[in-house]
Amino acid sequence: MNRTRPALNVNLGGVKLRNPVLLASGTCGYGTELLGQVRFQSIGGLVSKSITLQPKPGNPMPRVAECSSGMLNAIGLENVGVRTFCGEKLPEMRKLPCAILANVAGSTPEEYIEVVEYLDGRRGLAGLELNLSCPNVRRGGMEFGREPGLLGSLVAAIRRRTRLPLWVKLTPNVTDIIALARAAEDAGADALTVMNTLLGMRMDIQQRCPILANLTGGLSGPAIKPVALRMVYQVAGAVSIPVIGVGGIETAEDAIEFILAGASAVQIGTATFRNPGSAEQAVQGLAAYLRQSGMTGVNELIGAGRK
Amino acid sequence: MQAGIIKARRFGPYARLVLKAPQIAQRARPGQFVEILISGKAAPFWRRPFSICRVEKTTLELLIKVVGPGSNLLANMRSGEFVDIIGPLGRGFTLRGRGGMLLVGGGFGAAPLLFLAERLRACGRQVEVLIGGHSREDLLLRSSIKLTGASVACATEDGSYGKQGKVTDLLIERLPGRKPGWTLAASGPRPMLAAVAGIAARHEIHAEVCLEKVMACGMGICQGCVIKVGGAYQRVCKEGPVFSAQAVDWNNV
Ligand SMILES: Cc1cc2nc3c(=O)[nH]c(=O)nc-3n(C[C@H](O)[C@H](O)[C@H](O)COP(=O)(O)OP(=O)(O)OC[C@H]3O[C@@H](n4cnc5c(N)ncnc54)[C@H](O)[C@@H]3O)c2cc1C
Ligand SMILES: Cc1cc2nc3c(=O)[nH]c(=O)nc-3n(C[C@H](O)[C@H](O)[C@H](O)COP(=O)(O)O)c2cc1C
Ligand code: FES
Repeated sequence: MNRTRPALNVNLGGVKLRNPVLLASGTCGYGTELLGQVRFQSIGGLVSKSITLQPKPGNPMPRVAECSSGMLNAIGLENVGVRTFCGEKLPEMRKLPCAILANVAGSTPEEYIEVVEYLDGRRGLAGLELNLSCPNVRRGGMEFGREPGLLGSLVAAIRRRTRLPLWVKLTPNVTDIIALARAAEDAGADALTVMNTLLGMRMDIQQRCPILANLTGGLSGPAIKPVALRMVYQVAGAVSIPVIGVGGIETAEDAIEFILAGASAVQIGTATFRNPGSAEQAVQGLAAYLRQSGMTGVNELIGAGRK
Repeated sequence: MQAGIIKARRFGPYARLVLKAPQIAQRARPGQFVEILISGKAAPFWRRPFSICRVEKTTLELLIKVVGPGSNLLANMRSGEFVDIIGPLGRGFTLRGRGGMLLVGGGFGAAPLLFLAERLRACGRQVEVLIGGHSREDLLLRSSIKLTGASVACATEDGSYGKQGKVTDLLIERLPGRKPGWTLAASGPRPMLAAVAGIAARHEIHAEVCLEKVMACGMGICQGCVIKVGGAYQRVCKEGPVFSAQAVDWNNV
């Protein structure tokens, strides 16, 4: 055993990565925007923006607000739509030297299914991630990811339509994350991404109104790290499929905390805005930590902090 | 990237910083900007965007107006200190055509115009710069711009220097009777840019404007800085910050 180079590779429900650090959906565009800022050969992979059936223009402005230790966003899933994604974006993305996953969103179960069927079998896609923080227009805008029954039937229907590895991304804006995680696992999810943004708000004290045109937005960044870590700990204890931790991770130390809590990999989101080198630096720091701890690979670290 | 500050000068609410950043200086075009991660007590969470005001072989210069915590920390930095900087970002002025160019700047909006005037003069083009501000202290970069060989005229709202009134009054005065081939470039507060766009449309003259939006990433990855251009959303940090004035939907910026 070569003790100086710990093994960083992981298998996340059929998605094989050279190391356990990815760029999170919505925070790395279609990847190519970051050429010159991110060395893709040094990270495990990236997850595309959420892709919908039709192109979406997104929400009115303002869409972002700065907070202490984080930010709010209400971008409104602005994206090019699945056809342009496959026709124009994916051919460029698959030239990037890391794994590419597509994140899928929709406003009805049929829309999710159509997007998944369109993506299925495309060259260069390592897997799919379902964004379930989307309002279901059939249920008065209730998010798919808030109710175990709704989540389970959607995931099961999608599972039948694709052989690609299927990750389900959970929303934290729920009372019982464990019930939702189990519903996703039972419906055939290969891995769980925990978590999406926390619903929040900011006021403009001069104009005396909310800063975001959408009134509320999703909170991300270091401010949410303790919440994400707690949810990863809970979910990892309740399911047997891999958990991918995301929420406020900026450094290798942050990533190690998530892995100790039971995450098999992590995603870096907002940190890329401040430091595009965050993901690569997390990989380097993780490797150094494993070496110093005398561990042979990241697998030894996963869940090692659990009680 | 870390860039060392090699010169720092503070005057009133403004500061000029010269940074050693060869990779950025060599690729920069007028109208492009940099994003700076500001550190220190109560530093803001996001990076802050600043126009590139001038470049030399290995250095670039910024003009900073103090408007809040981030700009305040940056404006108080000293030579010998380092800043964390990304750039050059965005799309600059097209420099299209060979005719003369009228540049219109308001407040710190004059920053990219110094760089633009230098590049235009280096191509031997005629350049006239109109600078406006509230009072004399806000007429920035006048002497640096004059040194490029461009002619400079000023307007102040309180009449403390140059013509009393708005810089757009000066523009209306100076537009008629120009030879064909003259184009316009403007940078400054949004109402000024909207007025310049209107004037350019009435005189059927091509105009480019340098816009500002609060930016979460500055690199085209968050979609948080969009404006309506030609009916669709475009990112100020990626497709801009320089846009053709006619294409911008001025009710939606
Ligand atoms: C492409 C671009 C180029 C710029 N070039 C320069 C430059 O050369 N020199 C310079 O001094 N400033 C420039 N700015 C503006 C500068 O980025 C802001 O003044 C700065 O981000 C304010 O940060 P702060 O923390 O000091 O203040 P904050 O507390 O963030 O803001 C103070 C006030 O300024 C407003 N504000 C914040 N950011 C912006 C913005 N981007 N545009 C307009 N208003 C804003 C806020 O709404 C608030 O009212 C540029 C902005 C952009 C987008
Ligand atoms: C600007 C922005 C856009 C985002 N867009 C998406 C999206 O389209 N789909 C999605 O599943 N998550 C999206 N997210 C959530 C992130 O992928 C991530 O789950 C969240 O930001 C928490 O991680 P962080 O604190 O590291 O940013 C977005 C986040 C931000 C900040
Ligand atoms: S600031 Fe993020 S896309 Fe422009």
